[in-house]
Amino acid sequence: MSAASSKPVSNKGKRVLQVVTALVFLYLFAPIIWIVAFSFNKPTGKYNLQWKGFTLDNWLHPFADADLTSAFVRSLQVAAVSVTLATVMGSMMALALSKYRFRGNSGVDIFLVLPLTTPEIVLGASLLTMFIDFNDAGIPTESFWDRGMFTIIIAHTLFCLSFVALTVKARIRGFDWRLEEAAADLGAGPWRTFSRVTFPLILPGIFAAALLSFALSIDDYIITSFNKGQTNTMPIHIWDSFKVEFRPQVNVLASMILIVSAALLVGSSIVSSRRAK
Amino acid sequence: MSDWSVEQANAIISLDRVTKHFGSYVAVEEAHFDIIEGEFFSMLGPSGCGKTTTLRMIAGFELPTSGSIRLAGNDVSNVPPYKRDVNTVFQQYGLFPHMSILDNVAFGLRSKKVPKPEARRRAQEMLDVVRLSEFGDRKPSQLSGGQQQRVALARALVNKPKALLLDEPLGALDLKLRQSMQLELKRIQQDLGITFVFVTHDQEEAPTMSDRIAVMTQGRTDQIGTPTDIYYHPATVFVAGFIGTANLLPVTVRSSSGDIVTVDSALGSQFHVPTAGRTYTAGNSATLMVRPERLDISAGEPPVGIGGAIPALLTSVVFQGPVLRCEARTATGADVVAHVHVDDMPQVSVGQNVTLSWRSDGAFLVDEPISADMAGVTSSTDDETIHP
Repeated sequence: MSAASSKPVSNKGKRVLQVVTALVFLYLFAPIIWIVAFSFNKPTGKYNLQWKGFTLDNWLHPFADADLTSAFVRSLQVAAVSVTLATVMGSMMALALSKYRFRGNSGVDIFLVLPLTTPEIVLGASLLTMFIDFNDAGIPTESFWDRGMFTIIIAHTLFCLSFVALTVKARIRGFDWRLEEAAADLGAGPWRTFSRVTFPLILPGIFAAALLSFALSIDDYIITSFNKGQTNTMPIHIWDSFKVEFRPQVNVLASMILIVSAALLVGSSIVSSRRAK
Repeated sequence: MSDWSVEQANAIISLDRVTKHFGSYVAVEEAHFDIIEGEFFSMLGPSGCGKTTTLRMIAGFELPTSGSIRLAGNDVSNVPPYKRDVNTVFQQYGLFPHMSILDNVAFGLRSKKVPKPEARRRAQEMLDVVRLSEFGDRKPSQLSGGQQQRVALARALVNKPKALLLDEPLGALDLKLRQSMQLELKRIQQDLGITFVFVTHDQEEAPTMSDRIAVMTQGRTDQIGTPTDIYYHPATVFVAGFIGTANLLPVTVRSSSGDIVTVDSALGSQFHVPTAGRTYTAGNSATLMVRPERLDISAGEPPVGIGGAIPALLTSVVFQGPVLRCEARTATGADVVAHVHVDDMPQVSVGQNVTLSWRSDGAFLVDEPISADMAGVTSSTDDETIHP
């Protein structure tokens, strides 16, 4: 008999726990299962909403819908640029905030949280107001802030930035800054110290932040809708076209994003657990 | 302020009135001494005495508020750490957790643009020196504390620094491992002939390894000297009490002639004490120090030809192997400790009046007064050690 177990769980209790756990997981994964399942559906009409039969057709022709495809590509472009910008700037902010104690250090923390707590609809609307006012005032020119890819990227970078800075800051809380002293002691200048010691050690945190802000960017609807002009991203296109059709290619592309994200997450956790050894 | 400078030709590190303030707190006050090339130099003192700050200024992690530091003749006061030809073994080792042991050791060489194959070869050689040849492929977390310690040592030494700085490197190890590492450090230092600057708060560790010790307290350097010098000829009351166990008695300097200084004790007797090269001013209050192992106990009159004797009441005798730890109280109420060899112990029992005496070279005069209530035995640790 093991004396270590703190409290014996009765068989009945164990069974209840198993059922509850299963229900919670079902609740979490049901919508995802639906997305993937309906990417194999063969709808009879324009709406892929009822199960009509299995087909691989949609996966064989994932880019059959030209408008959807171009919106998908645009979303990837927006995400690529804004996630890169936000990750670089946000990580630098996180490093500065964790490494140095300066006046206003805690003030910056509050400013970082503000964009996350501001309702998206307010943030989107005020960005739109700002772009219009700048154009009206001709700063720097009358059409500089015309809505399109440029303003979408500015908006996405903005909300990703706070997110990256806070996530990376939380992740590097455990970083031992004395390692930087050790590197300097061994003749490494600031750049070598950063590239060989600091950066590799905080990379998992940066990677996680980038991945999560990619997820934020790729599915943003509200803020984008205010600042998109005539440019459609994937969520915008799906919502707009839902009035007339809902094609299974939507599910295929969504499943692709899902698979890639999951693969990256699994990959990064394998890498970081190997490193920890 | 005493001057502990040496001939410039021999000095590898020179501190010239180095002072460090943190805000209004004075961490180091006018550190002014030289460290000689090839020696094992220790900075010893209680926590907060400024020893680590001094080391960090030599390494370049802190900049002096005033004063200058010279390394091999060059002023490095404002040179960043990565351009200084010294290396540090940190208290918590500071090994890079994401690199293999070999890459850790090769890091410094790679910083200096040594080609990778050569860097790896020399790193491997250094791992051989610290007896970790087989561990090059492992990660730091796969090694024990003592092994990590040796990696940190190898990682610093492989760069052939002008001086190796060690910041309480043995603090995290258990007693047995610490003692074997002390010998190992001394062996490596002698084999490689590199100057070691060692920081410790352990008053037993420093004398074991060091050629010279700087005893520091409250940011000041109280004394620099060989372990024997510091032990038998302490410059201050603090040094006397911090290194080993000391019996201290308040005295007044009566006269000084040649190698002998004559003092009056509060107990009414007069003692003659060797000056050991120091000078004393007549009329000054000073402190007479006798180490426990230099005290003899006799039942009646003290033997002839002694340096001094005081009557006392024997209060306790504790058997500690070949040595008896005897406590006695003087007429002024000061508690005194004597370590007497079993064979030399007379037939006396606790509660009896005895005479405590010392040979003419058994006492030393510390040129600093001590209050009557501070008189008696003093020691930095509770578990007292018996020095030979």
